[in-house]
Amino acid sequence: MSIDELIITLKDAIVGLDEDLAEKTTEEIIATNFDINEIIEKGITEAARIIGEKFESMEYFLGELLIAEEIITKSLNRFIFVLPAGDRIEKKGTVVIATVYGDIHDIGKNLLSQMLKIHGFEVHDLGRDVPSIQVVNKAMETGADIIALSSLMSTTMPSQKEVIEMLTEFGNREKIKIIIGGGSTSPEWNESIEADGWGETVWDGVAMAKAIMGVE
Amino acid sequence: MPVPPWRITSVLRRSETGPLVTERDFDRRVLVPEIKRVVKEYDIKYDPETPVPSDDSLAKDIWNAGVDLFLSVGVFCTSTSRRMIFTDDELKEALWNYHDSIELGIGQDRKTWSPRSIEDPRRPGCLFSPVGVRCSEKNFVKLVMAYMQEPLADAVSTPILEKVDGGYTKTHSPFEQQGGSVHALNSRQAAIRVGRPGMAICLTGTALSAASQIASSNPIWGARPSDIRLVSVISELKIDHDLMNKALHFRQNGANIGTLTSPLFGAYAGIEGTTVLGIASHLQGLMVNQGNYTCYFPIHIRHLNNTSREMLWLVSLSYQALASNSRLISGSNGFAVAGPCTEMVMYEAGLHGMVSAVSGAAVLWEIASAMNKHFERTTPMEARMGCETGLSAVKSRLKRSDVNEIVKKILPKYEEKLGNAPLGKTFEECYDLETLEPSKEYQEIYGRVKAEFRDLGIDYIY
Repeated sequence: MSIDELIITLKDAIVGLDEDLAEKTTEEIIATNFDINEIIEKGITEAARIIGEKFESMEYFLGELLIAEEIITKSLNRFIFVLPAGDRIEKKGTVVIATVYGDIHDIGKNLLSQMLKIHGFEVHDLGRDVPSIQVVNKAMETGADIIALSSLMSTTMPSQKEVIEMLTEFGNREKIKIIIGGGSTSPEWNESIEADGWGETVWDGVAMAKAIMGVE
Repeated sequence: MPVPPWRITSVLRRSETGPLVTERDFDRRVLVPEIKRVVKEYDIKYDPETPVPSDDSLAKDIWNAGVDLFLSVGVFCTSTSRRMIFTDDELKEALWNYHDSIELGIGQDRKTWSPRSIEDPRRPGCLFSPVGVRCSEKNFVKLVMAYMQEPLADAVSTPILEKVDGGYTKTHSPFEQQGGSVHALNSRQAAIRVGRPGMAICLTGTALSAASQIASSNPIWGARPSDIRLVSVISELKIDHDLMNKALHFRQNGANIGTLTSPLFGAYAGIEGTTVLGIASHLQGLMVNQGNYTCYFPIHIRHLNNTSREMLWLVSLSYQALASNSRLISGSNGFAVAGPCTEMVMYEAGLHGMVSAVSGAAVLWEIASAMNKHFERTTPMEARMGCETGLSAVKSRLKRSDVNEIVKKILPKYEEKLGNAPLGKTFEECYDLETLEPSKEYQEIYGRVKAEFRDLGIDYIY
């Protein structure tokens, strides 16, 4: 198989959630004189786009996203292991993501977390019911570009506001963009707390993160 | 009367001693594959041409798949990362010992809710609910009074108090506890003012944490054991110790405990799998949450509603499965995309009410407006349409096939607008806050939609 065919096979294996084929193809690519950027652009990014479409059309769900993310991570880690010195994979950005303090509903957050990883972001997923100060500390510690906050319950929405206030008081508001979402939130809430973007769907969240980082 | 909880200490122990598994593996290697397995094995298929099926064998398959799923997966405790597993005999014991009815409220305001069957001529119970809409302290009592004065309401739910004494009622903050208690106080005050002092009230949405829920149970604030107290299922098939603390507190203090469950279509599964999850989550409510009844609000992950074609299919079959295979008392909680004072929300409410009632729901728990997320965008008129239409469909002795035809005629009026629905108006824009009367505009919209439903075969009582 040519390198172009191998890349297409890897893309199809990721989209088809075929772990064995993805692993085998990754090794076959490594045996060639491969260009990592070509693999990411034509293989993994394209696979991520198709997976996103399948999620939007409700053909794929959280389970499929978890499998796809595992396949991509495994494949990328293998490529990184054999990359020549000086070559590196450019990450699209760093995101700290959490379901806010007091809120235990994390399905929406989990979906966005998986989609961001699949699309090449470095994601620090802090989980559910996360105190605001923990989110802020993690963002400052990792030099995050974006904080993504989910809130389902009405009484937990003020924690999104609290994170913004803390970042402002620490003098880091200008460095880190805040995007919000979750069942109880709305564009009006986004405006009132001066967040940088509100997403109604997981796909909105990915699009906002890409727009903030200026990447495709 | 409610029976004692099902082996509560055994349930508590299982959260400490069940098989250890990471949450990722529970989701990836247990829950998702098992959902796929049961949907395939029981051959459950969605048919968009029949939003309200009359296929008894399909309802039976959904029940059996739900039981199979619950027994094979169990419930994941996020506090301990352990699976709580149950046997077939244990489930049968809990179902066999389930009560025949529950009573809510006290004195003249006491009501009884009982299980119903498919196309049952007996009327379902009615709970009028602004669900979780945020509300100002200024308008809280008036809004709740407007709901409580509705004659069809057996009980009411109450909105979320957004701020109290100048602070956001942020979960885990002291304002949450203050807000929860004031929420109970103001709700009871509203009940007294409308002359229904013993009415059962769903308390206390402002208090999300166990600590604040427990604080708001103090009777000096107005809460009573005869009120409605809810313990959530974490979607899907999960629970944590904070929720179990609530359940323990409600049970030990004789409160009228119920389960709140919301399977999400589009998260872990498609419409068939989510329907099966709905049955399994009812069983979690019985065995783990220790609920005497369930508030069931399956939700479309994108539109945040359950009034679209596939969601009405899910609602109908969930209730057909529950009604024909168990005595579980479940309230069908509507979620509409459109907001108050729009024709669309009237259509959504009417369809949700009639589908639920004819499919066998014990209680009509109507209805969140404007996706339950916009400040004070809720009024009793939406709940009135859902309940009045549901009760009238029962009175009209409609069959599932009759309702299926009505749904097919009405759905095209709003299906295309689900992604861009009108948000309508706020309570203050729809109601006179002094007289608590709905606006002329809203009454006219209500009348027009009711006339359309009447023309399609709903024989309204008045």
